[in-house]
Amino acid sequence: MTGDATRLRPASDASDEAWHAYVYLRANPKGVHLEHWQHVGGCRRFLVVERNTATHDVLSVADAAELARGGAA
Amino acid sequence: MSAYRLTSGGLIDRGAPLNFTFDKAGLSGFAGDTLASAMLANDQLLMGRSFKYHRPRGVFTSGSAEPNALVTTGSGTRREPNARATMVELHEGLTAISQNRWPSLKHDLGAINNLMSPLFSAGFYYKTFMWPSAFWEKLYEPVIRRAAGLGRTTLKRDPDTYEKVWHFCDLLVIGAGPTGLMAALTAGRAGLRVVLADEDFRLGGSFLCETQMLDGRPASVFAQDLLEELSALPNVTLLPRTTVFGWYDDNVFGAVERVQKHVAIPLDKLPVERLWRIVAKRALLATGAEERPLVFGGNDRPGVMMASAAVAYAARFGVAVGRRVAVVTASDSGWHSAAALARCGVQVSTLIDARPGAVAPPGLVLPEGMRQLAGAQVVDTLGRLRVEGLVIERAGYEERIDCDAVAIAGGFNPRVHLACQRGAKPSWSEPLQAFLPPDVGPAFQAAGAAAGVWTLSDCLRDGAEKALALADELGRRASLPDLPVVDDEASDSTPAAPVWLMPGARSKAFVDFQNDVHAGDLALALREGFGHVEHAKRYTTNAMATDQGKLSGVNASGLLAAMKGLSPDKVGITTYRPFYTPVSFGALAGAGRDEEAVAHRHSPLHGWAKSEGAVFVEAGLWHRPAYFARPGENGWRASVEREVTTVRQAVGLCDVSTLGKIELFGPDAAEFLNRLYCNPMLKLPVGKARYGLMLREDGMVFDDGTVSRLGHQHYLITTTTGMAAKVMSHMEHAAQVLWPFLNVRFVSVTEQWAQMSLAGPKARAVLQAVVEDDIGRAAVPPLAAQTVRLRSGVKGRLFRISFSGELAYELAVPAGHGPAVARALMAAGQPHGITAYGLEALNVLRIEKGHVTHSELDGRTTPDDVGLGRMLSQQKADFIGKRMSERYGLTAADRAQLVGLVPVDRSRTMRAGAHLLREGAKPSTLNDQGHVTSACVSPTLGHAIALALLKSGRERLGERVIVWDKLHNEEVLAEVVSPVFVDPDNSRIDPEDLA
Amino acid sequence: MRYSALSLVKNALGRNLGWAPVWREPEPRPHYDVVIVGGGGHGLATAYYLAREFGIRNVAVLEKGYLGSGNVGRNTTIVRSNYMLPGNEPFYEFSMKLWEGLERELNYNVMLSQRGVMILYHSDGERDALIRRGNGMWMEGVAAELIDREGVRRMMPFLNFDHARFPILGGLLQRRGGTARHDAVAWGYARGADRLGVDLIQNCEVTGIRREAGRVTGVETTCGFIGCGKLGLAAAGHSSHVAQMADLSLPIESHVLQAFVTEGLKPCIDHVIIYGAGHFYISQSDKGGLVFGGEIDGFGSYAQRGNLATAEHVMEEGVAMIPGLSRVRVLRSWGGVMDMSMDGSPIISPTPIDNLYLNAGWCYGGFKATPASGFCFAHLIAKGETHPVARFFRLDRFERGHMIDEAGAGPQPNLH
Repeated sequence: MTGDATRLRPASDASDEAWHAYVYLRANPKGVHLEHWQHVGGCRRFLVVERNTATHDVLSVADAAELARGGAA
Repeated sequence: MSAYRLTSGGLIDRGAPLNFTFDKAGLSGFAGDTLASAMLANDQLLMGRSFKYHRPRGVFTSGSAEPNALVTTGSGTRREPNARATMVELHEGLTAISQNRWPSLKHDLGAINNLMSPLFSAGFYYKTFMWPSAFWEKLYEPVIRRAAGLGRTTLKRDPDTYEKVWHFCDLLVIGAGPTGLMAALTAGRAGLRVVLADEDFRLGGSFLCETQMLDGRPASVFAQDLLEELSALPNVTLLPRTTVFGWYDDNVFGAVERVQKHVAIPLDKLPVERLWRIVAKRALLATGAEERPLVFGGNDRPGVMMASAAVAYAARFGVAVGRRVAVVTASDSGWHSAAALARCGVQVSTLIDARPGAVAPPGLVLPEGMRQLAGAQVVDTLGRLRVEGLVIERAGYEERIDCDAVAIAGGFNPRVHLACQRGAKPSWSEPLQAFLPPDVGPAFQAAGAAAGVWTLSDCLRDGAEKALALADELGRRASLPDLPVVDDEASDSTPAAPVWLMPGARSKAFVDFQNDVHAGDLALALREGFGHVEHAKRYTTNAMATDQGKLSGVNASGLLAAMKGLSPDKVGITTYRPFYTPVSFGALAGAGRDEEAVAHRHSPLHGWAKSEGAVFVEAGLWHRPAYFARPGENGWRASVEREVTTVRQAVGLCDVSTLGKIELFGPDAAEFLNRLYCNPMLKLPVGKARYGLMLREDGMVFDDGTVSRLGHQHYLITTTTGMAAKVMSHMEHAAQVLWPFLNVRFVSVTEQWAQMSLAGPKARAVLQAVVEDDIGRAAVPPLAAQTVRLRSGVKGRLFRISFSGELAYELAVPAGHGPAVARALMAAGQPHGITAYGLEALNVLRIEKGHVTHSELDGRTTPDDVGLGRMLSQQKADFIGKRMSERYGLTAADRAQLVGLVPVDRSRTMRAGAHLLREGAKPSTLNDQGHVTSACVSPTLGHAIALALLKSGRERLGERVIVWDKLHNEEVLAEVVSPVFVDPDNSRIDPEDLA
Repeated sequence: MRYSALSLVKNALGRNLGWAPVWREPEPRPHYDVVIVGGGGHGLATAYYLAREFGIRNVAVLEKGYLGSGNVGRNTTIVRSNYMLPGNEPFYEFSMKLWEGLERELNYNVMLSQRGVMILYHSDGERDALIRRGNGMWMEGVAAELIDREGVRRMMPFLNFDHARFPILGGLLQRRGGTARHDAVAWGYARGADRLGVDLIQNCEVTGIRREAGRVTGVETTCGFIGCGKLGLAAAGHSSHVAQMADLSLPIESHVLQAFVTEGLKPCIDHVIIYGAGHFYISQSDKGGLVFGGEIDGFGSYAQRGNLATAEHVMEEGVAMIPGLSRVRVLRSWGGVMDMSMDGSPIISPTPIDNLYLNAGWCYGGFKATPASGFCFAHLIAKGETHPVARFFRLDRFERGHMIDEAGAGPQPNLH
């Protein structure tokens, strides 16, 4: 798991605050959130996993790149 | 003689006697015995000593909840402490010794603790042992530590092996008693993939101790028929001797199968234990219920045990636990146990029921001549090493009852453990007066006694019905099997209120037998404000022994609740955690051990290097040549000096195959690389290579390597050996998450290519002998990157990159051709005096040139720190790490910067890890100026050199500093110099073509 | 009541009826000068030092469960001051010195056992890193020794010397390091704070932070609103969760760390041993169980439990380091919630909100820091400025670029 999947990398000329938040701040909720996992031992894809950090229940999984491209393969 | 083997009965094989020893005494039993049942048959009641007070202890149960009868089995490297005698399957040649006693079990000096017990109340050690302060470390603690623990381990290497498997099933049934067997049968007949696991070596659970008839047949025969059908079903896996110890996410269960623990000398073609990781669509907790002890004065004396255990010893093992057994109960179950004992031929002389006015359940055939006492409390037991009598009290009237065994029946606790391991708490049921398993969802349900279903026929029905419902959920049609009629069934319709403590105890009334926690300790805990169940547990150590509260947890909760005047519901119970019963390291670690614990990675040139005399060193998972020993050279230093000198003066060959290699394609490959590296990549021409620095998003250097452009949209990058995998993930993250719209594809080709570095003034001459294409100075200039054809016909890639500062090339050929090409180069180099060289020489060469590795790039350094600030592009709109590089702390002038060091006294050496101080400064964190990152003796210069990170280093060239290595008690005065020690003009890299 | 051997005897003679509750269980008052959120080791130590050192006694500690129910309730109990970076080492040595005087300070036996902490190394690179660390320790006046292979073998002959995948080449030893009894530390500080007048409020969960004009006025709790002049957060694992109530985002991810104990054994391991070729550490408690652990599971979690794969991995490393562990049985496993920070180092800091102070980010190394964390946090709350040894633990260090990254792993919490 590599972390919070809701953070979007700011434009290179965005504010210091935006960059600080992207690199360092995390919502870290006790409950459902979206995070990145990479299937290192298999397809090598980064996935966006919707998971509950209090119960470990996984609600949904999507390919990160496909999600970003709007679902197109 | 009180305990003895009954002349008939039991499920043991009287035709198969077995010999074993206990505390060196030779004894015998039968196949089907446990160590405990065989010891009882030999009237060996005394089996151990308790932890704190060293009180004599006998066996208390007939199963895995056993708190007392802990023995050490085996010898030598197979010696195993803390085995429960109740779970040790008797086998020929078994040796067992008692624990926690000296000099012997009968005469244990540790019993002096018992006399001092009022001082040793709960938590006593927090209140003392503090004065004088030095005594804690030197006297008190060593004594406490020596007294601690029960069994002894030698920590010697285990001769046996272990195995791990994954298994998938539709239904995992945990517990092969009546409930589990019916569930497995129902599901199995419906075609589900079923796994039926039980910790016992014989499947059947309470069927094995049941004295009543089912459909007119003995219960054990009924069970046998069920098992025969189950073992014939190909979709059913039976796992006896298998404890399901843990319940994890995604309905994964961990279980340990004791494959050969019942064999004195195991076969080495089989493991002794097998770890099962079972992924179950559905699971059923059919673990039954644990009988609860009664808490009364003296309830720990050898010969006092659970009533269900006494029945099990009689019915299953054919052992009478005494000749005059007293049953103590607070509910109808004790009466049923007394009747069961009588059915097996055991004489029950007395039955004491705490409930005033209690009478036998209707229709029950009572033992002949049994005296019944209702409304009486047991306040003490008599005897020293074995029970000889009870003291009871009724309304102030005391009476002594003779007996030689006491069977106690306090009620039943469903074995909820597994269902509570993921945080849910059991709930107290008022109607059933028990803690029931929580609702943890449809994937894991409880059935039978584990769910609070008490009678045998109800359990059989419950197991079948729940399995039927589960099968239905999974889309399979199952049907209810025929349910047998149970003769003389007990119908415990109204569970009695638990008696948490029999009042008036004349001596300690134990709650936790192994840790010697008695009711008074719990009262003390409450008095001192540790009344919360978790505090009480930690303060008294109740439920913290190897039995983890299986007998003591509920009693403690009940007692605390009663002391506070609350219902157990309000008090709750302490947290359940894996493992249900202890699991060996070996089973969890599995087969990989010693040198095979982790994978070995070998370069394609490994064999070649070995034949050249390489001495290898680990570099992560790889094995890389450190140096190549030649005959006559004593020690690595001699070899490394020769290798370095030969490279600088002639030519050397080094295997660099382990460095990461990633090949990229696509219209956006250049743009992608431009964003990954901090230096410009867009304009890299085809056929050229460039050194590149990759940063992390926080501005620190992540890895360094080369980028080569092999074609218009075709690139090859290299990484360091250690960071290859991380760089790959980093790039995949960038391509998939950050910039999914860039059209680029890449793949790791690290293992597809053998790559060799050929370095030294004679490198070109040697290479030309092997390569067909013209590789002259003009044809292959510095930083050229192109394909080549070897004279042998092999096609490869040639990169003119130099890490050593000499004229150098890296030649890559498909991995399989590597050794032949290496041999060809060595042959071509022979007239020039070529040497193979390894990591040590490589390190010296690069230190001489001031090239940084991960010794300098330790994840805390920026490009500017290591003198590569000019690589940080000011023009690029964006690259990973650009913005965070600009932070105040990363551009501060007093950051540690890369410098070189030479010792003022040229005969001294310096060591990596030494710190730096100004001359005359006192060592302190505030005065610390930095540290040495890399150090070596330079054969080229004839003295020691080092690279260091020194605060504001670049401004301090010429200054003298102390290289301070207090660990080795060494201080060396050194001069701060440029980190490029050899050939600072870099003229050696590109000499003229030789004739 | 003062604890001593004599008090044990006197009370034993009185059938132990003379002992009084170790701490009161008062009803919360409407307002305190300082409210500390979190009744674990750090929160309790903070309250103790606020009262004892800085004379601030109008303090309440709010704990959502029972005192010490968080990470201080079960951890691998290692106490050491052998950190590498100058931002860290002075703090941990300050803590070490407080440990050495703690039982006298608290009149409670925390059972500090300075049996020695050995970090093994398996390559030249690891050795050089330990030399850097050891010399850094000496710079701070902390004794460290580099032990060679034979020296390690003499001390710990049961380690895997002859058949290791990653051979043991030597180790860095801190003799003053060791272990302490975790429950005793929490209870000792609780008792001490209570005696000085601090209110310890259990079963009181903070559900909101009330602010007016940019300052904190108090906390909403399951026991009602409690006003405060200053608010200190010391709720490890739930730091983000609580800070969010004041609209503060933290550089923290909560992760699960598993820890384990074996059945009780007679003494066989006399030191704390830390494996270098993986992530594994082990020692033997005074009750005889081997207490050990490894790395975090790796995924964010508040569930206080981990999974089997990580447990297997920890055991693999254990057996790789000490082959004789193979037949030793593991009794129990736990999971805690760790505040994993963005550089692996803690936060003891003011926040953008004037009277809100933060003690967080301890990753899985908080136990050894308990005394110093309490002292420095109390110092910060009392004086409004950080204690010198904790001055690098500011929350804004990430903005400024002053990370203290022992592992060199960068801004990904699960790599620390």
